[in-house]
Amino acid sequence: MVHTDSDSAEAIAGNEDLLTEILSRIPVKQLIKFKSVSKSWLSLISTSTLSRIHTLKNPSSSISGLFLRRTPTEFQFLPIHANSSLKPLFYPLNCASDPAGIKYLQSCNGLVLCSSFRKLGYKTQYYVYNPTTNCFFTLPPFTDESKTAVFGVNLAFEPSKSPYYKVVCIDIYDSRIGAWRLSGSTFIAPFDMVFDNGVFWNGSIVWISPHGASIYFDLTNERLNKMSDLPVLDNWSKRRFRYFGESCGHLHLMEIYGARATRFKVFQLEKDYCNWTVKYEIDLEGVVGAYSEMVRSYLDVDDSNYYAFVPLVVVGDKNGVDASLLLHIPGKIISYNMRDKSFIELVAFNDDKKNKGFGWLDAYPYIQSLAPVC
Amino acid sequence: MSKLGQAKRIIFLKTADGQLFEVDEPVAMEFEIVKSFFDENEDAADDTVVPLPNVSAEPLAGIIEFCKAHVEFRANGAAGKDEVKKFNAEYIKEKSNEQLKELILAANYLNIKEMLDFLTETIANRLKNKSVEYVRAFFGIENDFTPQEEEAVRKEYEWAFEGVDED
Repeated sequence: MVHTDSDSAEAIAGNEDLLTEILSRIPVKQLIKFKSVSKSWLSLISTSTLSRIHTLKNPSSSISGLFLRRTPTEFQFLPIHANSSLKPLFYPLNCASDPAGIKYLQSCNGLVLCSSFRKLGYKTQYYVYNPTTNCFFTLPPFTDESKTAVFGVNLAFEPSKSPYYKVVCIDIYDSRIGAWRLSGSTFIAPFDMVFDNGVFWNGSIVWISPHGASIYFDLTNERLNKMSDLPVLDNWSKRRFRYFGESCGHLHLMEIYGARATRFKVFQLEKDYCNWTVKYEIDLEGVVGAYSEMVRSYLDVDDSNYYAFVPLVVVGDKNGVDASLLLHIPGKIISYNMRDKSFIELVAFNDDKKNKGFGWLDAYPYIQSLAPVC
Repeated sequence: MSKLGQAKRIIFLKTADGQLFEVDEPVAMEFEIVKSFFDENEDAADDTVVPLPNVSAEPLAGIIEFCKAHVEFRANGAAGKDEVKKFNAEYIKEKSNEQLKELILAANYLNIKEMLDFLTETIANRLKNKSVEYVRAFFGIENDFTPQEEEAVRKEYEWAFEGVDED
């Protein structure tokens, strides 16, 4: 049968394979919009087949917003673009209706790992959540009753390699604190390793300890490896991490030392897991000059927290280069360009009299993705 | 199959509207459906006419033009280079949406992977930033939502409707 002008369109619309190929090349936001084209499009765009193909074809979306934790249970969404404005407060993953309440643990390339709060009489549930599609999956319970605790639950999701995610956890199976089993092998972890703050980077989950030791779990061969120590410190015994995270394929580390510290370095780990190199040198003198509210004049001038600011996240530019550092200062979020040291105000909070607009607990990057969660 | 030293083999293709096309063998073999026809009929005579009952003459002429250029690009080691991109951009510039739809259906039927990738990408680009109404018109889709249902879907994904181009 030969298609005439009028029915060639319908022939394409009726060919699900062809349509899937076309739609998998449409950016996430527009594709979500196309759900209202018709009933069959709504169901096609919601299928995991299209979602998986789409995820593989569009792996390198950049951060387009932040989930800001404003109170222990409440979040606010901040889109990152010109004229950003904060969206209303919300409770994360309300649709899961977990009686203990839910918190975000880790954001990873479009998916978010969540858990319920620890509450007496309730089991802690873990969820993988896609905020773009508003779909979630409740992870099956850890079956081994002998486990006294489960910690270091981390999400590993690398859409450029696979549309499937993995959740890794380190479980204590006896009372020997710090000894844990993985893939059949026992590993004695440094006693102060911070397993809650694992970062997924380069196919591995990386953890660091306050004394500078670091390890990583390679998901490809499922092995734990020690890393060389973090960059050497001069005269400082305890580390003062201010930021540890992944952006645009790079693992960044920021530490701030000394009195009235407005200058610090952004380190980046090389793919060999051995060398930390200085990627950027930050100087916030100009930011402090523009925003005097950053000065905590009530503190001793030698105090390392004399200036109030929190590095939130490193954001890539439109070429996917990690270029900007979002900073939280009292009442505002500033976007600081790490290359030319220029900065612009992204958003101001007017609602927060109680703590003068400074301080929430965390910020989680939002990346648009259609990745299915189950 | 042609042997070294022999004249170039010509493949005969017949479209649904009865037109006969004479195509150089390397170009015709870009069409998976033609290739498998000869793989399955090894004894086929040189003047065998391959029927293409799902393709009419106009899109087939366009497809032959595209594949011929790309076979030459590959032979010249130009694959992936700027001149290929330039050719593709020129090729598609003058094509209307209707022609594009006919081309993709034909390329899909003939099973030409490279061209299909290029055409799906082109159609996707023409749909980017367009409104839901534009997409319905493009594919001749009837809106089968009730106004209440459509409102509910739009509301659920409200954020996706910010910043749409004029059609």
